[in-house]
Amino acid sequence: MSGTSDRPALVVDFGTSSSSAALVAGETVQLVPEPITGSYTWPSAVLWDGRHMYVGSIAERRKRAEPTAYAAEFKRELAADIPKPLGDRRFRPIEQVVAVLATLRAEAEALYGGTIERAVVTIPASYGLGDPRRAQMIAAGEAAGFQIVELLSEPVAAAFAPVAGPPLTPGELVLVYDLGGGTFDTALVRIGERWHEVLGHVALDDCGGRDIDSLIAARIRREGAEWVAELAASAAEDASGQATLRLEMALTDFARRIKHQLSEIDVVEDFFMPHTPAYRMTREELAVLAGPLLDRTVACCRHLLSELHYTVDDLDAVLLVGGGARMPAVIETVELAFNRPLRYVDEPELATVRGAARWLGQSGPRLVPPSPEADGLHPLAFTLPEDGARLLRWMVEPGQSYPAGAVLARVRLPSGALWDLTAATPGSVERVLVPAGAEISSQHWLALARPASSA
Amino acid sequence: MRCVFVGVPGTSPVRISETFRHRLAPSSRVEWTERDHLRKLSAQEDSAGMRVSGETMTEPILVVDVGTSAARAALVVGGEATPVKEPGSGLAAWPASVCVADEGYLVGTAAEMRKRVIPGRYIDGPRRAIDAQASILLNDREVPGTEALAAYLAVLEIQASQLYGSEIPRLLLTVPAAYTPGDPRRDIMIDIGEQVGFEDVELVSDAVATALDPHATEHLPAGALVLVCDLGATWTTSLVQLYGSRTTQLAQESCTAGLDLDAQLLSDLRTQGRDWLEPLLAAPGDAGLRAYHEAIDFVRRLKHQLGDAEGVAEVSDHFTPVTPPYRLHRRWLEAFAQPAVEWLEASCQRVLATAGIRPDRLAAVVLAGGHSRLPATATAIYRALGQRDDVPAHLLRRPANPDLAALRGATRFALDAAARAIPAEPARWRVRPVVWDIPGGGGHLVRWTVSEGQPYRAGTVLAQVRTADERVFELTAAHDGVFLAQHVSPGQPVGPSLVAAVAKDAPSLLRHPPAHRHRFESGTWLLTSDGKHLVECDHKARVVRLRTITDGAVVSEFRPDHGDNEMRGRLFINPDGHVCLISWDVDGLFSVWDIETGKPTTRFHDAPNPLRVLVHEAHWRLAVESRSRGVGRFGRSVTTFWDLRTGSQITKVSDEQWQLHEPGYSATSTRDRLNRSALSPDGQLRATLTEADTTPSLVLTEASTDRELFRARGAAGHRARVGFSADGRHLLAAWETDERSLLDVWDI
Repeated sequence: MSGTSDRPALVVDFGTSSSSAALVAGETVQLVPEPITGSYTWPSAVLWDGRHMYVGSIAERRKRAEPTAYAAEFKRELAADIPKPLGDRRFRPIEQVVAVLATLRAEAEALYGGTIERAVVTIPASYGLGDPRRAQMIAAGEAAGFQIVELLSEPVAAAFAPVAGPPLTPGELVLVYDLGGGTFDTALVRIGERWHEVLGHVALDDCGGRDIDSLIAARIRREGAEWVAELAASAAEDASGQATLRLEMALTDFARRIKHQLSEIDVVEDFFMPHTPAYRMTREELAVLAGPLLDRTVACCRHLLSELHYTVDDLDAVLLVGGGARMPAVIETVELAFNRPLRYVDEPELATVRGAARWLGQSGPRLVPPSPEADGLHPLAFTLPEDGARLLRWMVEPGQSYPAGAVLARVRLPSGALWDLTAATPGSVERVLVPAGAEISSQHWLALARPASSA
Repeated sequence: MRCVFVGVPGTSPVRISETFRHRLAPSSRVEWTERDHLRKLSAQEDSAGMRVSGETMTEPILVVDVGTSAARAALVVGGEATPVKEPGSGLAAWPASVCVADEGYLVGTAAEMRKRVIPGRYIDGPRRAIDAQASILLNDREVPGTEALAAYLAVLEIQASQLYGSEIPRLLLTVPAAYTPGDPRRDIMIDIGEQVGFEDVELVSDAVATALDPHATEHLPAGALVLVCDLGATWTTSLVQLYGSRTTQLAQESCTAGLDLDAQLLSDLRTQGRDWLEPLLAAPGDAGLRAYHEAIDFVRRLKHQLGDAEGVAEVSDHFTPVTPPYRLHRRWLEAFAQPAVEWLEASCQRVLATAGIRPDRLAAVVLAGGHSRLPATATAIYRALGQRDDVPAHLLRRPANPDLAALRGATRFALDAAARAIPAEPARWRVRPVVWDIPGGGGHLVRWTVSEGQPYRAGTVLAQVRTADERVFELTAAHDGVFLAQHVSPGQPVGPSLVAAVAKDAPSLLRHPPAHRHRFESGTWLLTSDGKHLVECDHKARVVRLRTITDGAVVSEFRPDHGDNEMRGRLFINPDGHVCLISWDVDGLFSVWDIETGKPTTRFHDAPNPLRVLVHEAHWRLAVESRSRGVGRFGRSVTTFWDLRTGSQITKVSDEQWQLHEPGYSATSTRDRLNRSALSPDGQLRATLTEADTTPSLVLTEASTDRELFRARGAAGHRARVGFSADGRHLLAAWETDERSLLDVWDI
């Protein structure tokens, strides 16, 4: 087989509340539209109707009819990994992720007209090295049919996004401020020629657009207590219990609608239902409501800067990305807090996927040919007197010549005895393959040596 | 970092420093009576192995045997062993005791002395806390067992370093036989040694050490089975197989019989001296505890007195000058020891049964430890082995000064350190490493995309590696080749390099044929069915030798007793897989010998001067063709069939075409691993035979591509058979005529 790394790849920004994907084939990047809405933003939602798992807007639209078959925000459940009942079955969060990735892949393949075996999936910066959610995302990608799944940190991806105005210049220190649907991520990035260096990153797992929606929904319940209570009482009469769930979902959607409108206009007046009283909210009220949450994001950024021993004055720019970047309250808060130049991305909710697609083009080739320096090297292997041993330490340095009979390494056998591994012929150790402390077995290649005659 | 604040008897506790280390001159070294003996043992290692830096490999080693009640140590330098004596007492045995004084740890005699003052801070046998994996609870504090033992070892280390004049990098520590491989207590012991500051910590089971005691087992051959009964505070029975540095412990069992016996004696003392002892024990605070410690020491002393003086029926002593005498009668001691002795008998049997060893296979029984002085113990062992008291003296070995047996054996093991070296394997003929440098220096293997044995083209992706930044790299091949071995499994970390074994290309293999290791000549050759050994037999059946394939070393030799008769013979493999020699003489006397046991299993008489002898190995039958008597010049041949199990005749036929009806009979073995063609154990190479003008040739090809890699020509008129050793490292070819056969071995 030949490599898959030169074939088209699907870049996926799998978000808590919404996802997006871009097909990268050679130099061209093509965003994958949602088939129903035509938007490049796919709701990260699924619905199981007993036969088929629907993903995206279909799931959103059918959720009113079958609220118990619907799930969203399952990205947050990955760590706990508790199966959730959907209709007649239970699904693990990872299965729901697989459904989203597989749908995106199918849609992209239809767009491309061929199979796509390679994926880059962006992950929150909070998925540190060794976090099991990294392995889960890779497994989900593989289960969705990709042969190769690469991961990329979301703020790093965002820093690669094309910014409005002049491009970021090498050497600049940029704070990425990414308020998404489910999480807030920030990263301090040093812009490079081909590669940006992430100096550090922090995330707040419980601080996103959805949390602002909840605050608005709570405010609606509080202020419209009369009519909400009335609706809740009538919903409670529904024996199946689905009406209450439906009402909750509708209130949250209503809250989001108000939030989105306030990004465009100063005052919103909207009706939850035709016969309910008008609900009114101003930008200032939203700013007050979201204030504590936004203050947390600012504190998070300051914490990151101080951890990395930088001050706000060291920043060349703050890059606003994620759906939250559309909220005037966010822009004002950031401006006020840092007083540094703000940089924007057109369609900020697509910054991550666009950036990841650009990163893919710049992140270098993936094919590694064998090292020609290794020609003529001989493997060093030994027949141990017992089953296995622990390599305690190497007694020769790489590159150091040794005579025949020289002690190369010392091992401890299961019985506790120490044995020395010696050279049968003179040479030099060129590459150590097994580090001290590792368990070894007979015929295991421990190092590569260059025989003295050809050294 | 060396352990700090430890107390040495006769000095105030100090932080170990180089000045302190040099306070004692090397001239204070004490000669050991066994020194010359041990020097002789190690003479052969003196020249072996040097380090790259030029320093000799015989680095100094501190050997420590930490028992439950006493520790003993020796310093091994340059092939010589010197005991590390207890500075407080000047004795070889260091009391295994620790006292946690305000100024630091005191150990050995110093601890014994201080225990009268602070009995609540006294620890009897710090290793017992490791055995139990527990902390030691003292009056006013809890001391981790590891800390107490580390302090103990630190003092031994100081003493030994003074003796040597410099730091000692290596420690050999005995561990109880019950710490079998994988036991976490082994790691604890290693950690303790490393905490004390030793660079290398080596462990040896005290059963193995005792079995290696030169006083007990010096002249036993390699492979000898030794039953070790170490009867100290803990009683342990172990079965050990001697192979020098590779000596292994096959089975073991332990109990606390020694401590239980002391408890019994103490209880007897309390009963007999109820009037005067109980008030002392009941005294409040340290006084009561002090009396308790002294009471234990008192009964132990009496016990040893009885053990040391054979024939004395009773010993007595006064606990204090003003208390009445306490008498310990030998009969009572034996009665108290009875449960322990019964355990010993049963335990010996269990240990042998666990290892599947019959008592008559034992080469020696070593009886060591302080309690081995109890006469009933030897009797118990005789009974366990099904022997009477007049057992041959060579079987039971009681090393002189049995408390030192483990130390002497461990010292022998330490002197042998230079011999514990494994030379690197020679490079394989066909194998070439291919090396990739992992971008970023490391990652995890995602998968191999080519399976072992599979050919691939240049540019093919052979593996995928995920780096720490979650990029996935594809590792490609530079040339066409065959993938041989992976060395790393998916999911494992890799880097900075990843290697795989690939085959060299066929043209270069043809240019550089495999190294011809050796050629043997004999009557017939067999490759055992496990593919691990060669068996040779001269055609006169005088000697059968089992040889290793790699170096042709004789593993075992068997000379059947034929008397003075002129014999013929060949090797076959019976249905049980045993190699058997079938021999016959001109008179037609046939014998079947089992090579493993060296005994004839069957004998029978056929007609004299057999013409042809053929064997059906699966049915284990023999066919003898001989000329029938008295039917003129052209007498017809007669074939007699024999059952090789029973030696009984089955039938007799005069049909010269009998082999058409009875296939499966052959003049040579067909069940060994040498055949007309053979596939290497990994399935990647095929050895076949071709013949041109009655001259056979061996042809080695790559199984997946059929490409020829190597060819060897035999001599005209030879029959040929080929095979591979079980480890796949050797190619073998036997070239045979009726009179002799040659066996070639190549390294592949």
